[in-house]
Amino acid sequence: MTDRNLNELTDEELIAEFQKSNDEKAFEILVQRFKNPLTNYVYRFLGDYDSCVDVVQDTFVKVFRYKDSYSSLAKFSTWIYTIAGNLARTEFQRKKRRNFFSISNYGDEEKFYDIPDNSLRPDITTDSNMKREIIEKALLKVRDSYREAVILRDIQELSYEEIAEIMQIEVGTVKSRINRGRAELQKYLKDIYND
Amino acid sequence: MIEEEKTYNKLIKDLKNLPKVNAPKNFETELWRKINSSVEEKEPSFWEKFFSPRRFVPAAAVIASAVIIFFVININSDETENPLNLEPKLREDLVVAKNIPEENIVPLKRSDKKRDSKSEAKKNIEIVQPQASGTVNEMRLSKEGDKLKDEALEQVELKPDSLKKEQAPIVGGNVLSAPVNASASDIKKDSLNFMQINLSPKEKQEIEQLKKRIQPSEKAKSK
Repeated sequence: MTDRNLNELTDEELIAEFQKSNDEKAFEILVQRFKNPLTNYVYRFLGDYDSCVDVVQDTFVKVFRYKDSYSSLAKFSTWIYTIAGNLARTEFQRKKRRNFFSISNYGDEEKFYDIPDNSLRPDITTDSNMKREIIEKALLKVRDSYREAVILRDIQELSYEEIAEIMQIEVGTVKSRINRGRAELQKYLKDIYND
Repeated sequence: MIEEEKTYNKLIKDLKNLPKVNAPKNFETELWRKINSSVEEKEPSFWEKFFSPRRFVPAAAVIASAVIIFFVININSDETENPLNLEPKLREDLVVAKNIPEENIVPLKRSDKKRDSKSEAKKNIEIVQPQASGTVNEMRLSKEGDKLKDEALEQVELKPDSLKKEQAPIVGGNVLSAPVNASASDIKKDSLNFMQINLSPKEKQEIEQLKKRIQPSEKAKSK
């Protein structure tokens, strides 16, 4: 099959082609399509770029090696997001264990260390870059399961059904987690959204 | 859900406006390097995994500890007394008396002998004749009332080693005064002392008197 034809195929058709003929070109197109969304998703979850790139690469390695375990019943995007999510969660837990006794972004979910930070003053947060940085930090404080749901919904803009399939939970649970995650996030960003 | 989204409208908007993070430029190169290295690492087959030395380490440790425990228990068990392996105790009641004067050997009466049970007789009788070649020759006691003794004597066996030693015949814990090389016909019942009781003449008289008192009363009862 020519490159032009392959580019016109859907994700599911590409993976089917890769499964059938072991065509590496099909795999490369899938990498091109998903490397940036996955990097964004994993980065928002982990908050560390180097780890995020490793996780996304490991995701594609798994897709390459275990391509035959993909079933055409599911969407390819949900399958690859599930793999990336599992790897990201594992990496996050590993980092959390490593930084167990240090005051960092990977601290305990329930207890937060209130470090006085002048940058959180409302008069300074007017700067958009600063605001973005605050939101990113606050997002990393949200509980893992809530954060994953919020990222998939509000940043990756996936449907509730897709999120439910990726997280392997009910749609109702997804909605609940998204809502709780948003509430938690807003609590951390009360200085920005106090009005 | 729409109302909730309105509640967090600003937050959702800010989250959507967060800058998109993209993969690095050398992403594909690194990815193919990883893929190639992972393919080169040949995954061991099921049987290779099954028979890998790592799997046998715990099993070997368990076996080794079981063997050690077995030997420790076995050694300890040797220290405990096994009743079947105990050597027989020396009988303290078996006193070898030498040079007993013949006059002190009192022949027993038939009634006295009957009191002793057969088993006691078997236990207490040990006769050694130095000239015997493997088993003890039958000792023929001269009188009829010695059937009990004869039964016991027939059951006694001697080992050749013990026969080499010159020992006096021992009956009921007493040494017979008969000479060692005396023939069986020379041994008489009167010369045997079964009861180990050495009574003085005065005591004998008292016993006789008591017997005389008892005998009429027994006769009366039997009638």
